[in-house]
This record gives sequence, structure tokens and C-alpha cells, in this order.
Amino acid sequence: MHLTLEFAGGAELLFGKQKTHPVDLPESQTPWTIRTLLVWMRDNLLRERPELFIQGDSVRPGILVLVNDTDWELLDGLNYQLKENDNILFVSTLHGG
Amino acid sequence: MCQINEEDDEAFQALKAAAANKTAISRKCMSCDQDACVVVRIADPMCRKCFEEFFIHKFRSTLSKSNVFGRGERVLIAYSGGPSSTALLHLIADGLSVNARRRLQFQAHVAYIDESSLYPESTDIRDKVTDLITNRLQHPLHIVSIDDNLDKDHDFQQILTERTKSLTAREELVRRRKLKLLFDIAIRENCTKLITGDNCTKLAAQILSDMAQGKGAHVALECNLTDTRNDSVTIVRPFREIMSKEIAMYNRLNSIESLQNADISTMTGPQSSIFQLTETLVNDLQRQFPSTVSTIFRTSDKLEKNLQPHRCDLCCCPLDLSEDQSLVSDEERIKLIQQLFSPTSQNMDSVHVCYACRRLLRDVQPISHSRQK
Repeated sequence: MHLTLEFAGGAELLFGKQKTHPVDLPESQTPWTIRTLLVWMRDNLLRERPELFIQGDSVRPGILVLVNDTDWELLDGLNYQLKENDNILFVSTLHGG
Repeated sequence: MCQINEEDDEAFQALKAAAANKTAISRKCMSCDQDACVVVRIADPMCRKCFEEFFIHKFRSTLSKSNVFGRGERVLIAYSGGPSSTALLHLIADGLSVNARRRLQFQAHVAYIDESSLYPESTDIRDKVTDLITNRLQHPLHIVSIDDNLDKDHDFQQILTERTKSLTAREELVRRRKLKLLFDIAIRENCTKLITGDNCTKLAAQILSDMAQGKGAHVALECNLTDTRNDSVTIVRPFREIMSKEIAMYNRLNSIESLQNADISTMTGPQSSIFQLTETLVNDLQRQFPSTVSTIFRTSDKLEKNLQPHRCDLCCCPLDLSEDQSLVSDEERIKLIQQLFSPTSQNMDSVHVCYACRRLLRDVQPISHSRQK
């Protein structure tokens, strides 16, 4: 599944300073959700310091997640099922990354 | 929730369960029934249009409600390159434009403190800032380096890395130094107001951090809309009722990009300094209990303390110690304060600091000590 991941507010520093990452997720039996996407990101994209981005099975509080410019709190949060060509933006509102 | 083992706290678990079971947030805007794009405040969904109106209205009414600015007043905007101050510039540009409703009537200048000497990898930030403010927004821009006017014994980067042992102390020194430089620019340019982009999430973390460092006497001042610690320049905080999430959303919807997202604490981790700890705490709590920030604010507003009329020579706040207790007698520290914080016009005969700044100075080692290494 093809997605575009975007990072802003300092979050990009954890992902090679790159603000936009087009990704192709491998086929999966179970549908991809943000929860499983985060696991995939931790294993495949996070260059360093995972604890600055992920806390438990979610993102660290202070990191806002927008799916197609919509607050993920309106869309089932971690359980939102990803669709082809979704744009997921992670904005850090924390100082110091 | 203040215990080590949250699992043992029945009351906390009950609250958490209640929060988890609450009904899903409706996906329609609360005002106009369009599809919502963001959740603000406790659980209010808003569509893009209503959110932008809400955001802009909060900003404008905070300013006009209090009649803060005089017509034609010269005002200095503190620009840090971050998301809040970039949004601030954007909103002010809108408010100053010819067809704005209830147009803002002050004369805007912008100040940028260049901290690139503190970071190993500096980029062309000055060019980017100049391009944004001089070329695109067309405000007078004043850029000052953070090591402006320091003698060779007081290289700021060296003071921070070699003589200051904790990140907390470094952050606090940088914060006070930046404010002092901003005041200097404002006075030099005859600006009577200094506008900062401090949002309420950050201010809440700052309040807790200040209390942990002995600065509780000043929290009411630090979170107030207008801050009169300096007789010539009043600090104004128009974002004091706006959350960092709302700013991030507004910036995204308007493609507003911040120019700088890193500071000396970047990538150091959530336990690297007191402010990092309190910011993590505030954001963690806010996720489950959305009135955290407003409660911190409401409480701090009420914490007034009878203070001395004289001001601390470091942070400019009213002294919370008596004259004898606040006097600095150590020669080296006096020199340090005079170099980093002395007002441009006066020569200081005696140096006085408040309780928190006194404790901060203890974390800065004297020159002779560090040279022994």
C-alpha cells in the first residue's frame, strides 16, 4: 500500500531530517492501521531515539497526527484503517524535538 | 496519579476507564454541521472554516479586549523561527492589512536573536529570516547575535558548554539572555511593547518548571497577558489562551512553515532538563485530562506574592528576597552578570538577584575552576 508520511515541527529530525517520506507498505493479512504503521515505522524508518517519537503503542503526547489533514481523534485514532494514498502528518509541538 | 504505581491507585484507574469509555466524538462540526477536521478544547469538533474563525477570533479578541495597543505605537515582535512565532507573524500581517476588520494600528518591528553560534551545524537561517520578514512581510528587521557585545573572557558558547553543568541551567541562561537582548532592541528602537508567541501549553510547562526552580513568586507574571517587569517595555502574550495543537493545525491548514525547530535541548530526551520533564508531564496529562493546561493557568493567575519594588538584574522580575539576601558579592559572578545581563545604559554598582536566579548562578562555575581541568 502506498502512503505519504510527512513530518514537521522538529519530528523530521528523527527521520533523517526529511520532511516527506513516500512509503510502500508490504501486503498484509490484517488491514494496516496507524497502530501497525507505527510498529513498521519504528522498525524501518526511525533512525535514532525511538523514545522521542513512540510511547507505548502510540506516539508521544505532544505529537499531533493528521490523516489527510484531519485530526486522528476524529477518525478512531490508533485503530484507523489506512487507505491507499493516505497522507499521514506527524507534527511535534514539543520543544527540543 | 502522583504515585509511582498508577495501577494501585483506584481513583486514577476509575478516571482513566471513564475517559476510555466516553462516546466517540461526532465527526460533524459543532457549529455548522460540515465535516470536522480538528478537535479543540475538551472535545469540540470543528470544520476548517469554523476552526480558523475560532482561532483568529481568539487572537484578535485577546488583543482588543484589553486595549493593549495605542494607535501608531511602535511594537517589537519577538521572532524565534518556531511555529508559534511564525503563526504570530502571519496573524499580525493579516491584522495590519488594509481590508482587515478592526484593523491593528501599531507599527510592527521584528527582532530575531541568532543562536547559531550555539549549534554545531548552523544553516543559512539569517538569510531565510531576512527573506521572510524583510522581503515578504516588509517589516523592519533587527537581527542580533546571542553573543552580541561580550568580551573575550565571556564567550557565551564556552560559558554554556564548559562552565554550566546542567541542561536546565543552560536553558535558563539562554532564556534570560534572549529576553535581555530583546528588551535592549526594543528600547533602542523606541518600541514600548514586546509581543511574544508563547502559547498556553508551553507557558503551563514553564510555570511548573519555574516552580521547581524556586521561581514560584513570578508565575503570575510569567503567564499574564501583559508583563510589566520592565518599566519601558511591556511584554504582551496574545497566544496565552491558544494551545500548541491549535497553532500546529492553523499552520498546516495555511501552509505556514516554521524556519527553525531546534534549540539546545533538541534530541536530548524527556528527562534531560526540568523544562523537558514538565513539558512531557503537561502533554502526557493533557492527553487524558484536557483541562490540565487551563487548570494550571487558572491556579497560577491567583498566586500573587508581595514583592520588593527592585528588580532582579538577571531576569528583571521583582525581587523576592530582601536587599541583603539578594546582593551578589562574588566578583566573578558580578562580572558575568554585567557582561551577559547589564542594561545597556547603566553601570551597575551593586548587583541583586532573585532566589531562582541565585540558584541558577550556582550552576555556573567560575573561570578559575574550569581552567583547572
